[in-house]
Amino acid sequence: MRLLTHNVLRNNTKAANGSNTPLRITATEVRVDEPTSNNDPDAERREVEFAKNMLPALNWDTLIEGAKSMGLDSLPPSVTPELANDEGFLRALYHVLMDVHLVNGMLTCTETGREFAVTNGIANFMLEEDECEVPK
Amino acid sequence: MITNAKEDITDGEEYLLLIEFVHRHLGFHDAELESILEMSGIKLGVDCHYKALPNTDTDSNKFSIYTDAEGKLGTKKIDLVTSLARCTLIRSVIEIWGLGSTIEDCVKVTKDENFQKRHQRGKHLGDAATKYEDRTFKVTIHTLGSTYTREEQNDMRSQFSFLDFPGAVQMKNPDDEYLFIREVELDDKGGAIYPRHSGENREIIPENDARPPLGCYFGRVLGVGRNWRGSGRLEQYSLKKRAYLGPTSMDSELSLIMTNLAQVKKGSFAFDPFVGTGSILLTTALRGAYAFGTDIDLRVLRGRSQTENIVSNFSQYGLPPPELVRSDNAIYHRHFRQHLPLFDAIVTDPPYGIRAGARKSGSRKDEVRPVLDEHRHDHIAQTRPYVVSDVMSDLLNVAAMTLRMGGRLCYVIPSMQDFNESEDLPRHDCLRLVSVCYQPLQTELGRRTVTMEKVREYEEDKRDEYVKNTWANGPESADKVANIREKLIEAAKKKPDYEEKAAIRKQKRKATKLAKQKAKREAREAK
Repeated sequence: MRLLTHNVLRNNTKAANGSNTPLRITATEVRVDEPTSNNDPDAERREVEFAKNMLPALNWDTLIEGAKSMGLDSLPPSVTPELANDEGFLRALYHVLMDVHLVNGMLTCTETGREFAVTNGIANFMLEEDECEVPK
Repeated sequence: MITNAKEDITDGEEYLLLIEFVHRHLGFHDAELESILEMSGIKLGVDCHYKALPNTDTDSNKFSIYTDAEGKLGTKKIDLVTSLARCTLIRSVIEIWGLGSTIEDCVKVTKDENFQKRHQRGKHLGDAATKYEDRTFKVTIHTLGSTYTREEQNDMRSQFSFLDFPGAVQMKNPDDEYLFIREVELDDKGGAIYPRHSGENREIIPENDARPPLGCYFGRVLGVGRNWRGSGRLEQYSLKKRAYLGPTSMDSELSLIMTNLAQVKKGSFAFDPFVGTGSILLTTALRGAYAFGTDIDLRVLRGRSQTENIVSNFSQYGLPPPELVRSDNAIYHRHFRQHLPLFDAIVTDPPYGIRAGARKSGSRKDEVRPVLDEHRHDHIAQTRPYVVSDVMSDLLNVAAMTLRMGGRLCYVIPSMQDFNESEDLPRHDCLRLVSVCYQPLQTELGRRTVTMEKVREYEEDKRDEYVKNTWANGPESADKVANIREKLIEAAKKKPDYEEKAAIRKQKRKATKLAKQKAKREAREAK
């Protein structure tokens, strides 16, 4: 599971009551892939583009928390307008979002304590039947 | 392939290209072509036009000519040929030198028009290109739907010997390839309507052989789509080459067409909410997209083993691993926070219960028994059947919510013959219908590949209204896509000899089962 996914995943069940708090990561295995751009200027440009496109959709505090629990603490506390246009920063952001994988671990909802397991990089977000709405 | 060609045609002059399609997926030709042109910034009807071929009716989409009558294409001409190479269904693109209803007419036009002179000057090839005198060449013959012997093909070739190219003949990677196409009337499956040879002893049928062709075309090859100089571009992505497959894996050809319809390109963010064995997601990644997939079934996501799973299929082609999450598209809003639109394209084959039944989270019973805390640890979440009409309305709604403005949704929908395209297709207030391509599968059953584009911002508080408006005719439309499996079985039962055939099948199944048991027993005893 990548940090980008962690950023948009939430426990939105009835029990969580719309608290919308991010999930806490407990990492047991983290894999950091080498950047794939290989100094190809075209690929680098696309990475910058991608990070720039994602930036408005990201919840920055969640990303900092998530990165911290995966052992990365190089992210700035907030994104200034200058940073948002800085290519170096955007490429680093791409690397954090896309190349850092939570291979095994646990995601915990801080509101309800509900746990979601991550095994072999796949987050299991299946809800139990008593967490779903009753069929009409 | 000529990617750096500079055409020295002056404005206003007509520049004719012939596009030869593969005789497959007939309903998809135009939609794929138009999608690719739009993606490359070329406007059909402004920058270039369709022109009907002289001897076929205008509706024939076997061949089409693009013209530059307005002379506006300019530098885009180069993009045109380059971008067409992406079309899965294009066999070749040629610059027309001659055409006619018979080979003699074609030769005559080639002589009179003298496009060769322009090629001889070579301005359009750029300064770095090999000089005309030294250019190696070959002449290829396409006789669609009929077979001609090598000698007969050589006869056709010799008709064009007046062109007298100075360079040497070279079969592999020549500087110039010339193509002669002889077209006859083909049926839906690509066979000739009046075949030249009889089916049994391969003897020539004289009256069919004497029939004039639909048309003959000769020209210089500019670019070739799928089988560019026989390098087998498409074959390497064949499902057969993949380690991990499932019963509903989408074939690579249709997947590639779908990525074209959805305009997936390098750097796109592509999503498949019913990822299954990841066959469609893989082709989006082949186009250079970042791939994200979810499925409710954890088993397909994990795969069979360390070497047989979705990620291993990706690494087989040297692609970065996709992002996979087990979640339920029926309750997308329960898994994901409200976020700004993320995806550029959603390409998917939703479950229709023909081969794989759709499930969603929740208990089958009205009374849900709470899961006890001591059981939580290894409790398997229950699922209940997911009605096709809901699969579709949820898919369209999630697409409307998560696509960027202008992003595309491309999905497959099977239907029986009673399906009325203009009324029964699911719709959404935020999505515009771009194209519908029909593919017949059996006499009663067909499937449509539908492409939609996001044109309006999604408003969260209108959710119920959106979902309610999915089916124009309400339950009646929804019913037409539902229970297709049952309808197919019903239709099969009506056929003559159904009973006997069913009995034969039953016997075969029994025999296979026994053979398997026997093999197992023997293996056990051998140990």
